Amino acid sequence: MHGRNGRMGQPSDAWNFRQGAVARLRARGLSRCVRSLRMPAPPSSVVFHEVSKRFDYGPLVLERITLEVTPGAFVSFVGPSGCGKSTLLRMTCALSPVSAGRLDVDGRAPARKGNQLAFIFQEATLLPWLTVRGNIELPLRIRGMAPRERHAISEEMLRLVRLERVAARHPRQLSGGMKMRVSVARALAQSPRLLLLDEPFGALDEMTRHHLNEELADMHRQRGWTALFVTHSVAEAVFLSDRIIVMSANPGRIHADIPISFSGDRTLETRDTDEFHHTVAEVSRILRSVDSSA
Amino acid sequence: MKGKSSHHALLWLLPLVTGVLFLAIWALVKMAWAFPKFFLPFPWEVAAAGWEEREQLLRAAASTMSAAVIGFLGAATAGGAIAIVLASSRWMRVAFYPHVLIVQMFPIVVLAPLFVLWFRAGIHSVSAITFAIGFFPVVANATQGLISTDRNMVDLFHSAGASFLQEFILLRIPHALPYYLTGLRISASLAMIGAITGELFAGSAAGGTGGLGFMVIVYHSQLRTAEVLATGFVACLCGFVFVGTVTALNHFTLRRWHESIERTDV
Repeated sequence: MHGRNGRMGQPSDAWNFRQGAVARLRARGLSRCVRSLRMPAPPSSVVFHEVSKRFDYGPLVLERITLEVTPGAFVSFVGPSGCGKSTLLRMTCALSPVSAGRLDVDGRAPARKGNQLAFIFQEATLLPWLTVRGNIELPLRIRGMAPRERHAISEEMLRLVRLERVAARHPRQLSGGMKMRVSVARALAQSPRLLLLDEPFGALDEMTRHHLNEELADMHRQRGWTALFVTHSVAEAVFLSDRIIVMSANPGRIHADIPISFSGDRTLETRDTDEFHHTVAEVSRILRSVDSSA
Repeated sequence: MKGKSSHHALLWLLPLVTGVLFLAIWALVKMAWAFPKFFLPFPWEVAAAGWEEREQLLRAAASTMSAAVIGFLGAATAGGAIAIVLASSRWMRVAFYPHVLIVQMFPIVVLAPLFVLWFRAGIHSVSAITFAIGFFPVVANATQGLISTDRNMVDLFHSAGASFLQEFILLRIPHALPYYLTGLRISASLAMIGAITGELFAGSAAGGTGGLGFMVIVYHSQLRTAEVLATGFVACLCGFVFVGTVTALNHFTLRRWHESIERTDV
């Protein structure tokens, strides 16, 4: 799945993307960046085993969540507000501790230091005093990467999200969709093995959202990280995911685990297929059954 | 385009018209009640007194400005440093913030004689009084800025594995900058008042002319009310220069990214 060959023995998109980036970086003598792109770390696996969560002495937020996410999978979480979807993500990146059970990322408990994950929040969360490029380079700066290498990677990311022309602008000069693309670029600049997305496109208009969905699907195809995606939009979840977890609330539990499989790449046309509409209807029906049983 | 330039002209004209109106009312009141000059002089008498005393007043203004600048810079530096200490942990705030408040609440009329005792009359004491008056707004605003960082931004830094120092330098301090600059603006507006108040207690003519506060005492003791008012207007002018400089610094620092600075090219 993540090797050199894609379907029918042709080079995969991920392979083509890396080869292009490697050639550009090598031409500029940035060997360390070349090494990181030529030997990308494999995507992460995430295992929730009987995970429960309670804040202080309050009621249970999540109860006995058991779930195994295979490397490279794109898993979406849908469910009513307050069912603990975002808490699941926060526990995965050690922003919130697990109250009971075991949560492993690549066989180890989540840790803030030394992890290879990136978090994309509901809002773009860009630092307003930094330029677009400065925001993309921020996590690399935190890791102590040299300015020249940071610059090379941010250029790659700007190209990936097609924002080269606005690299020197500040966030307040960007549209909502552009801000979110910067946020995505900043996350991908870290070469994450695991990407956590907490309703990243919730505040955008539908057209922008569709475009960003397609771009995200494309990037996932190119780069192959594991993704945990929280959304309130069933159509978005169906479009992007290999698997949808439907959750119930009070306390949050897994209500249904639905595999999604479409033939071919996910493009804007995918949304017009009967298969897509049928799947959205099916997931919506299950989600409604959660709401009515709550 | 025409509308824009007339709007611009109004911005200058309106305060000018209201100013002239105010001076006219002042002159009418003086004439109507026939107040003596030592009680209320005419506006032009104040202007004439200012012109006659210009050399003395300029030297006094320079002296007051020096004390105000020293006190203000001390407040800006120490206020920023204290804010960083207070924001570094909740326990630091619990332990020290009440004492910062006590310093602020301590009556300046009690502190001033003590400063004169400790630093002797003159620029040192006046600067210390200016510092005491001006440092709290800096501390309060900067601390607020440092501790009110957006939760998602803090999470972003934590998920990227940032150290406490990185979080402080790359996130909290830039985020607190607009708050700190607001504190500086308030402190700047208090600096001239602080320096003149300080001179009332600790002003000295030793080594030349005393400051504006000292001149007020001298003129007032001689019932030269026009000169007292002229001194007040010079102090106002100095205050405008002071606050204007800090406002320009604020604009220069935040112009590219902060919502408080209006931009027309976005």
